[in-house]
Amino acid sequence: MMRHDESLLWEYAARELPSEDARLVQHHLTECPECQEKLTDVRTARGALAAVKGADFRFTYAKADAAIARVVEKKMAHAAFSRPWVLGLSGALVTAGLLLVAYGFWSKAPPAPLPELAEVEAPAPRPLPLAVERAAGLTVIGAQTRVLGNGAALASGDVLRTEAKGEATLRLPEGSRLKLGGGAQLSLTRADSDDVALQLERGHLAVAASHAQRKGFVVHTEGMMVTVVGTRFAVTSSRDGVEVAVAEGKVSVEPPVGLPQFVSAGQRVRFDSRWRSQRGSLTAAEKRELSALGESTADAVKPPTPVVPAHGGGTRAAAPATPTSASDLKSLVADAALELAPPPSRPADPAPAPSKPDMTGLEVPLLASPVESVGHPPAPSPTTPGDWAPLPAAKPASANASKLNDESPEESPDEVLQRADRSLSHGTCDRFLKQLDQLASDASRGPRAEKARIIRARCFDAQMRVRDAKEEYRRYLMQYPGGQYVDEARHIADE
Amino acid sequence: MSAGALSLQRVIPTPAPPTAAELKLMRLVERVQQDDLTAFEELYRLTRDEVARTLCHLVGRRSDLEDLIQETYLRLLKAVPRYKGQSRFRTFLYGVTANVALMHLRWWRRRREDLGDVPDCASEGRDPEAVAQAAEAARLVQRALATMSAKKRIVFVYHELCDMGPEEIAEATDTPYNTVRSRLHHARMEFTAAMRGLTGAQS
Repeated sequence: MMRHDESLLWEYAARELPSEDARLVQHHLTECPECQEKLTDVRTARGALAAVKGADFRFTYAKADAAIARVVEKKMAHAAFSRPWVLGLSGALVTAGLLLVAYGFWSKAPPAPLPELAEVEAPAPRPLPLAVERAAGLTVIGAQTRVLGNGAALASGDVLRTEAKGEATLRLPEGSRLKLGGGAQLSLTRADSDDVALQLERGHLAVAASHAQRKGFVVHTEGMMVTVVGTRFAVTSSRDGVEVAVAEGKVSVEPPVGLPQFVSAGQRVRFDSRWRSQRGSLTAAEKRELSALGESTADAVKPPTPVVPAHGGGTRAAAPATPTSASDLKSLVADAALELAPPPSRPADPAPAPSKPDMTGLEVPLLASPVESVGHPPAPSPTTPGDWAPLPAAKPASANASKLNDESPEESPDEVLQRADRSLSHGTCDRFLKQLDQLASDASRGPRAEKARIIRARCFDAQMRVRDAKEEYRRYLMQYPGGQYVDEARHIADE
Repeated sequence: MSAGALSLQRVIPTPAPPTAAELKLMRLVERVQQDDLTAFEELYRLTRDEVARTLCHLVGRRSDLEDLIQETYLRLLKAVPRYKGQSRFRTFLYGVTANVALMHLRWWRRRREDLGDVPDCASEGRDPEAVAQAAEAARLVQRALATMSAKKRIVFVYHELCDMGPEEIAEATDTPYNTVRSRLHHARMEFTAAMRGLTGAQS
């Protein structure tokens, strides 16, 4: 029998073959002893299988029972939880828990402002429009540069620029006011009702920040970030550095190099081109001078606004406090006008001798070598308004006066000093060096000569001409040993 | 006698009417499908002996048997929702059991090439002589089965020990009918040869 046919013997033994096939196999078996032997093997194998199949099989299922019970219990618990009413109940419990947590936070929230403060803050129920309150020589630059007048609407992203003699007062949606000085450029990066970010490219910016709750109020300039903590401050950006003066409250100043620092009310900090800081304080003389200036103005009904001198710019009057009423708004506008407008005409007499600047508390942390002083004009001493504003009208023009300015012979020495002073921040002061030298050499001009000498020294310093700057400061010290800028001159000359 | 002398008829038995036990299992399955897990526990109790015996024949190792029983019923619990009554539940259950045994045998073969003298699934009984004979037969059968491949073993065990026809085996293992027939044919010859060798060695 072939191997393939061996399976027939198993089928024959299992009685799986049809009767006809079974007869054929049976007939073959009678003639083939080999297949008979194989059939015996098959029957033995089947016998063993039958013995196993018929055995009484018992098994303990303790482990399997426990496992199945655990699985069933777990599934039942899951099924119970997934029922709709259980889900609903669970959702209600979770919601109740969240409400309790929310109530807990709410109950721990800071109390509402005191009534008197609330009156001062007077948060506007609706955001105010971002607009120009008052402008002169204000343009918005961009694809369509246009001149903006009073009441002109603004939008976040606008870039504003004021002419050299221009000025502008802006109102932000969250109630703050900005006053932009002449020759300034300001980007309204973000001026929302709850977030303000400004970029002062150059010039002077005074801010009267409202007390409205907001995400932030930040002024960026020259890589430095001024974060508003208080209310009134001024930022001046020029090539010589950045100065932040605070009249009220506190601001946080974060220079790109060095540690952040706070500037409190009555303080100012000046950073030179190397971000070395100098701190100064507002002096009583400054406040008196500004008070006198404010009182001389009919619209100045508010308390005198402190003036914060800033290097390279005009007289820095911090913005007035946040207006709380119509009269306050009016006075604010008036104060703003005072800050940037030329001062009222004065008598022809020379200005009274200014008091010596109070430099107590001035910090000069890093002045290691003369090289380091390059491009580092000293912090301007708190000065009288005459430091920035035109001096009183000159005496009848002298012969020298007509020679001061070849380009505009009719320009007065005061105008020359003013223009030269402004040019310091624009890096164009070198064209005034000759005129300044003529003015400084004319001893009969008194304070104008002193002013010309110091501007000339500052110009050399700004032009990185260290040797010339020191020489000029030494001349100043020789001519004016008790002068107004002695500290500044000594500081540079001794480096 | 040649292969062509006898015709291999495909015997497809007429499905027998479901028995009472089968109907009971079907009702339990329906309850399980309706998330009545108490029915699953009852289903487990009713079928665990048959599953344990089958697994014992398929894998032959008591130490692994409890784990395999647990694994079989866990798979069954997941598979029950897919059962649509297209076959007898017993066939469906044997399909799950075959998969568990197949995976285990493959795993075991990778772990141990030489199975050695593996313990068999002992049987118990009142007659000590019958118990001894059954134990000896079981030992021989297990050793003979161990020589087969896993798939042949499944077909052989299901046919010879579980009384399943080739058609039902094909359905349970999701294997073509002719494949089942072929595996059964070779499994029988291998088993006979293995038993001949085992009994000859003993004698």
